[in-house]
Amino acid sequence: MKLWPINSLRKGILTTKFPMGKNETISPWSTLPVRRNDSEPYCPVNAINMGKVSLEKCISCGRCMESMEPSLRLDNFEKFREKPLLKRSFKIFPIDSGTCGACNTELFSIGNPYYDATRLGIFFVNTPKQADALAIMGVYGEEMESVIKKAVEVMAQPAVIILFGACALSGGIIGRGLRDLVDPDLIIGGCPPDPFVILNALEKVRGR
Amino acid sequence: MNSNQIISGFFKKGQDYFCIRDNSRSFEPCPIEEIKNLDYFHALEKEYKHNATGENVFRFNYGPSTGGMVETVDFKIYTYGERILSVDILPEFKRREIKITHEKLDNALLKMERLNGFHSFSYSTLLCSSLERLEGIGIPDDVRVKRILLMETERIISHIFKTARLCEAASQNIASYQLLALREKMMRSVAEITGHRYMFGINKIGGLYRDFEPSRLIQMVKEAVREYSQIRDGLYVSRIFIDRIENTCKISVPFSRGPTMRASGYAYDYRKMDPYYADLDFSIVTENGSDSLARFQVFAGEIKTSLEIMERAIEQKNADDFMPEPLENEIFGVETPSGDARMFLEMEDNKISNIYLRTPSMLNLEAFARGICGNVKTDIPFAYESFGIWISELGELL
Repeated sequence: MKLWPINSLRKGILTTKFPMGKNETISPWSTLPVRRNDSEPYCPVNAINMGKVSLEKCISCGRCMESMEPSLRLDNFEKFREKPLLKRSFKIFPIDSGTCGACNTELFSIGNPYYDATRLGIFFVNTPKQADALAIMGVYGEEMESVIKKAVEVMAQPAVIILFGACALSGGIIGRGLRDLVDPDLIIGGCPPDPFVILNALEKVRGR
Repeated sequence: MNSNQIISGFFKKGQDYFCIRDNSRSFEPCPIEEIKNLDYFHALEKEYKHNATGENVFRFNYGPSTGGMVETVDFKIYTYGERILSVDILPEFKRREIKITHEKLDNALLKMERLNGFHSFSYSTLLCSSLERLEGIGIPDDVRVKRILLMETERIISHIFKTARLCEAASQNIASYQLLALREKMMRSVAEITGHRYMFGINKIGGLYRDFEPSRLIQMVKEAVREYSQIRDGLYVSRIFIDRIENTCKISVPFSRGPTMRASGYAYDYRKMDPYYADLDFSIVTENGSDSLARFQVFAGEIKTSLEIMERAIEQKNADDFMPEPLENEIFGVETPSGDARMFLEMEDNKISNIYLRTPSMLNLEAFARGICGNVKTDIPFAYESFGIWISELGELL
């Protein structure tokens, strides 16, 4: 049983220094694309208007690659709450309304040793009653409407509502989004969002 | 029961019913009475209800949105205390309706990728290869080989994730975090090589949208398999881990799919019938324990096999185009990391007019519901994780 500590020591520290340092990697096409030439870009979900890409609509498919390229930036989010809050500890309860599974696993990725969100005071909890934030993912589903409303209702204030991923924001290419169901404090784009973008967005909404 | 005769799906075409049998690449007419007589018929209809009654039996609710589960799913557990007598599973909370028919083919492909994002490349390859076969489109052999490389990489990442979840549920936190770190390392490399962590947007009907260098991928996978083997060896000598997963959720039914089926001794792997893998010799990994331990052993064995397949695929690359002979009444398929998915397609005016897809989770969810009976409630998480079930796969393709 000496194997585990020895293996752990051999691996050394994997955890990123982000947000104090620079992000080491990023999933290129999960970031918002930017222009690379003047040709008219093709987008299957009409996310590009006058050369500007909508973070709510973009499904990270890269079909625009003839005229666009990944920006590799971490700004694929928007916050609607100016007052900083929950700087010390931030407990998240994820709700899957109708995902393909990628948003779920990408959100949980921030807990793996490379990101270790707990060092920033970010934790996942098992019930919305204990949560400071709800991360709602996936397209609208009739059966989930009451589940989401109930979760919002039982949360203690102040609470942060996060819409997570292109499906929740606009329905993506699959269905209908959740913007008319809840009023978000933070939206995070991408299909699915990259873990560094997620960490950056969560830190910003806390005012850190 | 002979696993060759297993009906693993059925669909209606006109007024007639047709079934899909294992070890056959063609669908055949089948009376609806025969299909309805299957004891897992309701699973093919995506219904998983097994209510139980008796003195002091009560229903314990777990879900639909709760900690411990990756996806939304509701369990209604019938019990009189700790032991599970029976369970109803309600996946419909997140049932999505995905319109594929009469759509632009490229949009249909983007939607298919998002049926199960975790196994997106397997599903996008299934749709691409089916359409290529129906339309008589040949692809360079290089594309076939690269698709195999990415599907096998996806399988390895999926098996590592399932092992990590299994370790987490069995309180092996160091192993779990080391496996999650290994998965992250692979995902970062995949993003660097292909442009996307989940391989979205790579496949194209007739080719690939984004090309990549296979040698970098192979090198990355080799290192990952070496690292995985060290962690696996540590788990094999952990009495706590083995005791916790041995004899948990024992189930041996030939209708289960993929690693779950192979962990019960059934040597069925769709890759043996898949024209993509025709020249690639490999052994099907089987175990006989039928429990969570056996499923973990199959994951470990298949990770090694996947690397061997990748190396062989590179060695045996042809200069000619790849275009298999079309079959009459062909039913298409792919071995996803959770088991075989089978698909029927009809085309009209260069668009899909009719589609039926039987995913492995449809049947594995039923196998889980049966296998968990007699176990205790705390067994649910790691029993469930060992089946590799994705509720997203139970969406409706319209």
